[in-house]
Amino acid sequence: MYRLLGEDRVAVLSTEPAHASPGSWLIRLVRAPMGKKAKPTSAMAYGPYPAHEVKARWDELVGALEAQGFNRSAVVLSVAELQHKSKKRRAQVALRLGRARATVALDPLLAALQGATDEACSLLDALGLIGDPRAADAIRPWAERKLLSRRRSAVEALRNLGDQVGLAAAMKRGVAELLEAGMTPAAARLVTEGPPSTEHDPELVARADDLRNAVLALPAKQRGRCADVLYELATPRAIAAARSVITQLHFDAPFSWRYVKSVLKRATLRRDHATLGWLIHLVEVRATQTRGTTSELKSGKDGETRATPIFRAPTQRWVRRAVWRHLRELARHRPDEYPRAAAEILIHYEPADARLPKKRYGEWAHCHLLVSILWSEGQRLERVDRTLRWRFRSVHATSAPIGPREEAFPGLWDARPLAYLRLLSAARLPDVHAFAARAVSERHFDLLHEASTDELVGMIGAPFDRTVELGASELATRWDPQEPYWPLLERLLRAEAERVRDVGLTWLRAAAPQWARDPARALSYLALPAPDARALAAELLVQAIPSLDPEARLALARGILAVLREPEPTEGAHTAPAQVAREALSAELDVLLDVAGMMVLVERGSVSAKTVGGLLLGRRKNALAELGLPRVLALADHEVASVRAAAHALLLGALDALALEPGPLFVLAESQWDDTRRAAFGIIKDRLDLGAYGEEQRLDALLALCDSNRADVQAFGREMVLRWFQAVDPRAVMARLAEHPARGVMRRFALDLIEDHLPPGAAALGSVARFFSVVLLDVRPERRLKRQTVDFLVRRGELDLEQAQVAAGVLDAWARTSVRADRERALEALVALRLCWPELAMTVQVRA
Amino acid sequence: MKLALRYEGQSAIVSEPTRAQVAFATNTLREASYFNGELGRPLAFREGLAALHAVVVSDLKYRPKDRLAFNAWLEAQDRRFLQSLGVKSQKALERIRALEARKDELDRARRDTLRPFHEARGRYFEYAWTHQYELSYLLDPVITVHPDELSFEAFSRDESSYARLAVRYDLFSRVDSFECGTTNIDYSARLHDQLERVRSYRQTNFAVGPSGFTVQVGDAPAHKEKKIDLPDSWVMGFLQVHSVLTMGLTHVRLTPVDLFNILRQLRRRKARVSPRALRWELVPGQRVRVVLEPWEQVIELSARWDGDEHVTVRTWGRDRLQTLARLVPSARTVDVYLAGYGMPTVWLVDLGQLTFTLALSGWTDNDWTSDAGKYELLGRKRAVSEADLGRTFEALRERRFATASTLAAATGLHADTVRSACSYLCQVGRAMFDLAGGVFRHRELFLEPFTPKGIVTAAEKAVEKANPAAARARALFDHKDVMIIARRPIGGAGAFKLSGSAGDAGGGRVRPMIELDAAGNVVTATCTCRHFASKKLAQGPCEHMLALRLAHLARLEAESKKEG
Repeated sequence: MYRLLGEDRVAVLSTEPAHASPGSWLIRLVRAPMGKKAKPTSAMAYGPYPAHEVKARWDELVGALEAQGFNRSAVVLSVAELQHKSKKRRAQVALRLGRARATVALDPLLAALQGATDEACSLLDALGLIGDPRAADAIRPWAERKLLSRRRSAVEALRNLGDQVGLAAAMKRGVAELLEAGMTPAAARLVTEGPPSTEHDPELVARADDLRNAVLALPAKQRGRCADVLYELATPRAIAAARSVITQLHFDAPFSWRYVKSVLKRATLRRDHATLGWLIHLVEVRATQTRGTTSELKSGKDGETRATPIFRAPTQRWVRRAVWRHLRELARHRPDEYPRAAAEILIHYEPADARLPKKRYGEWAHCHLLVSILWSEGQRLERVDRTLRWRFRSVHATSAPIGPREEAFPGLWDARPLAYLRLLSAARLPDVHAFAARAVSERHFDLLHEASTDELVGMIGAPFDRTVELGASELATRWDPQEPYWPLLERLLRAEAERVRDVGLTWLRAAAPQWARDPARALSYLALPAPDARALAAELLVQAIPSLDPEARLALARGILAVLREPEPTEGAHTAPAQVAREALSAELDVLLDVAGMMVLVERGSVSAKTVGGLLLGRRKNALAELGLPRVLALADHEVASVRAAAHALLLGALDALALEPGPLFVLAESQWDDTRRAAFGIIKDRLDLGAYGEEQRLDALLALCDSNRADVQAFGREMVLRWFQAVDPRAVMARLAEHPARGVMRRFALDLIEDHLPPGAAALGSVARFFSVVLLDVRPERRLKRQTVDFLVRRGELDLEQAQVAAGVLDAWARTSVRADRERALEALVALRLCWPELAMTVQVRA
Repeated sequence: MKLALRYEGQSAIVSEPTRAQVAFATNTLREASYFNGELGRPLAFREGLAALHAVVVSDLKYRPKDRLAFNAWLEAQDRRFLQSLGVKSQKALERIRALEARKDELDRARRDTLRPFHEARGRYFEYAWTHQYELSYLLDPVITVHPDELSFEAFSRDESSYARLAVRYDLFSRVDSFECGTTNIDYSARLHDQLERVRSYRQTNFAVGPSGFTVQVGDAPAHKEKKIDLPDSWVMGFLQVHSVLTMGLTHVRLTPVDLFNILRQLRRRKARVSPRALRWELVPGQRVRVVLEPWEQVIELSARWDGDEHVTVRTWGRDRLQTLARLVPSARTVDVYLAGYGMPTVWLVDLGQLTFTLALSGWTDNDWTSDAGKYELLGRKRAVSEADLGRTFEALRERRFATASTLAAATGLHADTVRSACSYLCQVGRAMFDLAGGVFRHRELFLEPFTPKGIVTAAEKAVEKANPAAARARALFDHKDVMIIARRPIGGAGAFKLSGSAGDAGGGRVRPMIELDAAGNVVTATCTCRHFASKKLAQGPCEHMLALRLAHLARLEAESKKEG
């Protein structure tokens, strides 16, 4: 206990067992002046007292000391020190009083605030921490100051006091500052207008994104300032936007770092642990990416321009130390808040933050806060103050001990175990999970019963097996497939983590008989965001639909139809409903839709909707009559296979019309789609009587197929030519085939036909002479073709002189080929012709 | 240079049993030239365009093989082998082998299962690639409607081959209407496929115009826009080609079977080692011989060399000739123009009413504008005033095509001046030289209106900037560091053979010798400098040759002044 006046200003009371009489206790009182090295002026022992009497005697002694002017705490000393000549000392004392929430110091603090200069911030912070609303009037003028530090401390103090008048004025000033920085009024209004949002509200995210974009559209030098102002305004949207903007800032730029630091300071004053945890982790990450810069900056305090280090290593270390100091102060003065604040810091660490271990420095040596919170009380690690890194005391003892706990303030963690749940549900680092899972497994067995659904879902997605086990076992206790808790299932199915969704999919399968009966629920599952979840829902629904009553099926069909008629929100969103429609509800949809409705799906629907439309169209008997042949022909070339299949089916009903005008069929035979070509081939081959047409028309039709560039169409054309060869003019067929530019099969086919069917006479031979030149002068020839050509020319040339002349004309040029075998073959052929017809004109001279 | 093309319709060919309609859509951002007619010989036209297509898509530049997958497989094998070294137990080894065999089996099964997927993905990639390639990279051919012919010009993808298909109007059985001008046509692989369906037994209408076929397919827009990052080298290539065409070239006439023999032998054998040149041996009075290196296989051609001197010319990049393969059966004659050792060659295939010109750079990796192609330096340009340039341009535009002498008569300028002016016009893309007809043709490669101001200076500066040899030659001449040792007229009036002495960069002196034709173009040249010893003329003439020519031209001017 302390007092301000008198020789002895400190009195220390203590108890100890009385060794002379076991079970009794002594109370000792030592008096001394102030100072660490001061010697005691008196020491008294009272007792011995029995245990039950000690408390009463103790209180008596305390009362006696209080009567002499002693006080239980050092507040009285501190209050006195507010008058200290040093501003720095006054500031320290004020902060100490504030953290201790010493209401008795309110008036002295207010008195000290009048005329305060450098220590004003600390005084304002202290008033805010004490939280007495009587201070508001004195603080408000400080919130209007130009200097950022003064204004920041004042506004945050007003917030801690709950002073709505002062905060409203600060809000106005903040919005004005945003406008002054260049933000549009519409964007600035986003901060304040609209209904209040919760953290997970989609509207909050959207508006925060708009705000973020508005800030990022400003010049780079204004962005940090705007982020700080947004955080000062403290609406959920503004805070989300400020955090989003800060992630885009370069911390080594003076116009950014100043404001990042300001937000950090505000977060500590406001005890916004979530922002503090997020920001300090971001600082640690950025510290690994940049070594900082030095800039010439003008001080806001004295106006001097100095070379100022920006986000250099000492600054980075200072920030880490400051945050750890803040945590320790919390542990001391607000012990119930420490675990929550520590948890908010721990959840942001992730495996990517690790560095390669080197000698005694482990992979987390550089993560000061992580190590301080988790392992600083153990014997394994020691801190290197110069670098603020943690190293193992011995390379032989690096693994965690099994028994003793290593975290700082273990008692506080156990007093507020809900912080463990936060870690289990949100942490990304297995070491953090190990810490929390151990606590739950060893000491807080019932903690998981208090976990919310979101927390359990987070646990299942955790990167630590034990956490997943804990979460899954707790979830299993809450799930009954006979009476499913639908919000939980919905939450699991919508989870982004695959492992979580897998649990949901298992339950979805188990509860299929229940949810399939409810069309609204079934439709909502068909529209789940994850494709695998949608697919399973569709599969289960298809299996369940046969057992549903007709009304439920009709309702389901109506719902699916409504979905398919809408534009597809994301690619593939209609796949599952379309699958159900195709595989289980086609009869119901057939009742609900007329041909026009089906065509709407085919023409304007998504790809999946088109497949449904096509399927239904193919089953509708009167579709051909309603649509007309031209539209059906167009559908046969549609990009969706089921639509084409429908068109193919419908075309079979239009054979009479196609027989009258077969041209479109031959166009379809050239379609880019294999199935349409095959369908056209089938109709032409089996359903169309080409004999019913004129010879010229027949020839055109057959050659149109052969003229194709597609191998399958050419093959079909060849088949049809052979089939109808007797019914067309062979000379015309051969003359036309001879013009085909394709090598290979088509050329062999033409040559075989020519060889077997070319009519006699030079005129017929001359009509295909170019073809022979093309065959012989091909730089990639086929030996068989060449031989066949030469033999044929010789055979025909031997028949009469005119044909020999045509043959010689072709062979004459070829005889000068540089390929010896070809040349010899050509010369042999020419000699054979000359021997038959000595008068034959040719450039090659044959000597006897 | 960003080239924007916009087509209201699309080029397409619609074939019906008895009729066909060929419609080429033209760039609507260019002047509105058009042509309508009916093809008389569709097959020749088809073959000509097929050869043009072969040039457009050809890319024979060397590209190293992608061995990533192979190297990964090799590394996996190495790892497997090294891991097996560590296993001593025979039982374990057998177990590993059995597991590996099982794994291979499963891999095969997986591949079989996924085959349809991979095939479908491959088809999709091909579709996407073709589509994107055509929109972003395929350089549409340039079409020019002349009063007497249509011409299609294109460069290959590797920019080493230039092709021009000239279709005379007598190929058409009927010409309905036309408007002269130059533009681009919408071109695609699909169009080439459709062209293959052209037949002589179908009456084939041919139209070139802005509309093309305006058939809207699905939701796709009826018009098509391309934005191609046109390489400057492509544009410069167009200009360089005509510099070569106007040079004095060695001419050899071949029959189609000669071309066939060359192509057939090149197709039959693949040269694994260097040299891979086509060596032309021209011995006076004897048949021209083409030697295929490295096998030294001789192909004796039908033509005899009627020149006075024995000439040997080696050219590279002979595989590019395969683009002419389809023309062989339709060809009547083939004219080959050789510029010299490692220099471009020009192949002119006469198809009757069509002429196909294929100009090949010295070798495949040498595009027309890389610093190796300094062909304009070999041509001689007289000083041309802006007024003369303007008059020549106007006269050419009025006539659309004309010989230099016709233009000289029309403008009243000296033929050499007109030739130089035309050369400048070619160099800035306002005219072209038709080697088959021996005429200059008006062809506006660019949309901007023509102004003669600054063209000569800009062209000369561009030449000197692109060719430091020209600047160094000018410096040699200005410092009087070049002198003519001997000069004698040869052949016709105005042709000279010169030898001289010029200062070299090393401090010594070298002996350039050049032979100039009547127009002042360099026909042959040699020099004792290091540049010529290693590169011959393949990278253009050296500064000593150019300085000697400058000295000769100066003396000619002095002589003409003296005479009167």
